[in-house]
Amino acid sequence: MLQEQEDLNKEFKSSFENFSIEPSASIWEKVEADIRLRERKRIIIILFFTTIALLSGGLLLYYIGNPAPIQTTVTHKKIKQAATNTENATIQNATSLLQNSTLEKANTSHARNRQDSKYQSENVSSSPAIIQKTAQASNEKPFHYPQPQTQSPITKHDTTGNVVLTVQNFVKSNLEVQEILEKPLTIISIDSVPKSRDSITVKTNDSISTDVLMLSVKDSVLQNDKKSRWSIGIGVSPAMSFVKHKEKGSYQIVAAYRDSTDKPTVQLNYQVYVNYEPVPKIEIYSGIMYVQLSQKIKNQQAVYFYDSSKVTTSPTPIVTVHRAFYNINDKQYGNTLNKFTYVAVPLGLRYQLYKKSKISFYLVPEMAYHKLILVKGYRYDFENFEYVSIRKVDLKASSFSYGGGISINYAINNHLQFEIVPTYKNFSKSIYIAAYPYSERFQQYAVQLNLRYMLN
Amino acid sequence: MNESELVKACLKGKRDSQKQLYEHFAPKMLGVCYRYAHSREEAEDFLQDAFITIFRKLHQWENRGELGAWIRRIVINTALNGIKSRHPFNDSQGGLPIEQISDTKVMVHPFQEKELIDLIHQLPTGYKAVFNLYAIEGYSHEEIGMLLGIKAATSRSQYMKARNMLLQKLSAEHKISNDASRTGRFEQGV
Repeated sequence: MLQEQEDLNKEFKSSFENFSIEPSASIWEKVEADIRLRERKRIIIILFFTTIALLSGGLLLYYIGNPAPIQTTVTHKKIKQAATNTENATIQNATSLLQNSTLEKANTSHARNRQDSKYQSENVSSSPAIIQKTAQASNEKPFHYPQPQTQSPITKHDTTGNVVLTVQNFVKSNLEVQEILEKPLTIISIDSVPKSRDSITVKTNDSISTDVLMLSVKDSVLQNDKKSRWSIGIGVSPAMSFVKHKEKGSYQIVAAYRDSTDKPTVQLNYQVYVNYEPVPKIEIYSGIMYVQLSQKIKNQQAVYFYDSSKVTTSPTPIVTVHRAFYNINDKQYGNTLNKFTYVAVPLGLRYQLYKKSKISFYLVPEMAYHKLILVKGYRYDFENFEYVSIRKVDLKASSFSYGGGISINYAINNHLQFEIVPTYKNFSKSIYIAAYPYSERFQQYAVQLNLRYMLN
Repeated sequence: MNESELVKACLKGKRDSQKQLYEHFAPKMLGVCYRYAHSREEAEDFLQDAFITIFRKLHQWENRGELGAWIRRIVINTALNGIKSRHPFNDSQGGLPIEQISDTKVMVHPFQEKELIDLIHQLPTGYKAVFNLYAIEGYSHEEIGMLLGIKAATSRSQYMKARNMLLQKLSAEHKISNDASRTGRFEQGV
């Protein structure tokens, strides 16, 4: 009976031995479109990480090449002192002339100042400027310079001849920026203030005052200065893990089976980090993360040994030399959760893509070092064809991941920010030790929900 | 170009080689899909999904075993997943009881692929999948149970029912006969 049944099956099988149907052309077009799409994605990923590497390298070189600390605070007093200590009579005169002026006077006499060429001395006749004080900084004494006639900067020198102050008028209207300055506003550039290597530019779109240089140093420069900003953050991330299986040598069937039967799982990760903004728009961060990777495997697992030397010709399926079922925890149905817990140290960048009002978007590439701290679950024992408890020695003690995301940041107030960061993380190597003939590479999609506190 | 070289060229992104691989295997694999599918359109959907998976996972083949067998497994898995999602299996799908044609000596005459395909398509979804996997692909009932998410005993029972239904239909179309004296390919005791 069994023989007859097999004969009938052979009859059916032989009938289909060479059965083929010519597929329609559109199928290849769709398959090819998918191949093209994946190629494009690969190119984008390569470009992305190349850009990150270049940016990181550039930043590193920049800081190696410029070790001097950046002067971030320029006070009204410094500029005033620089102006008053100089031998430049014009600036002294201008300062003294305007010391008694009020802000209102300065504002309303703007047009008059423009025409008032008497403040232009022979020393600076080609490069005067006006510096005004805002209402908010009215407790500090203002000093004004006459309306400039040209674009040449005023420079001030100390007794040794070093440039101590340069004030230049930039007549540019409708520039972006900034609610932080008080009206009337204009553009200021201060170059070569002692011990400072950076110029500070304040721009405004105030059409009335665009040709009037105004400095409210305390309010404007400090608030515009975004260098050396530190922040700390704390957050939680619901994360979904996926696994890519691969077998070495002759093991193929287990991977194929596990690929189709593993279920993605959701875990919570936690993170604390410190953020540093060395230059506007770019931030560097690091911290500590508690990362959980997990996989849900079927309790009834196929266990095979696949001998590639005994594969028969198509269409007969692959020969399995050994095969059976193994019920994890003696359960034929349901799933078992494998959980791998790591402590990670991330190193990442935030690049500001867009900012409007309280909302800003950042591109966030990140790499992280993971240290295994806890493992729970089952792994396939290829020698005994059974599932056994995973021990820490079966797994690599540490691993690296790389990935990135987009941060959507909302400023609740000057100090507190909330951000949502959808991220993708890929582990470059298997979590199992190299001797294990079966590799599992994790990928994780997460949504970080963070609170950031700006320290200064 | 042998299989290994062809795969290497495909992995390097050479479109000609990818098309060559597709054209070499696609007709036969569409035949496989067609046995599981309800229609040609559905079979072409399965074939498309299968080849997308094949090109995505081609790096996993790594010259182990025969490429055709590896591709065939992916095609079968894709087709099974496709029919499972489109036409959920039911263990208690209808059919003739085994006893109905038991104890009958039947003789199977040579049949054409097309005729047999048409008959297989008349089987309920679950029976069709089990019959294809067991009788044609050579899977065990344990493996079929695992692939389809049913018990091995259910697979065994569905195969018997599918086979009997096929024999009944073949009988109706005079492809099998109760006359043992007539010439045929072989005898089958049920």
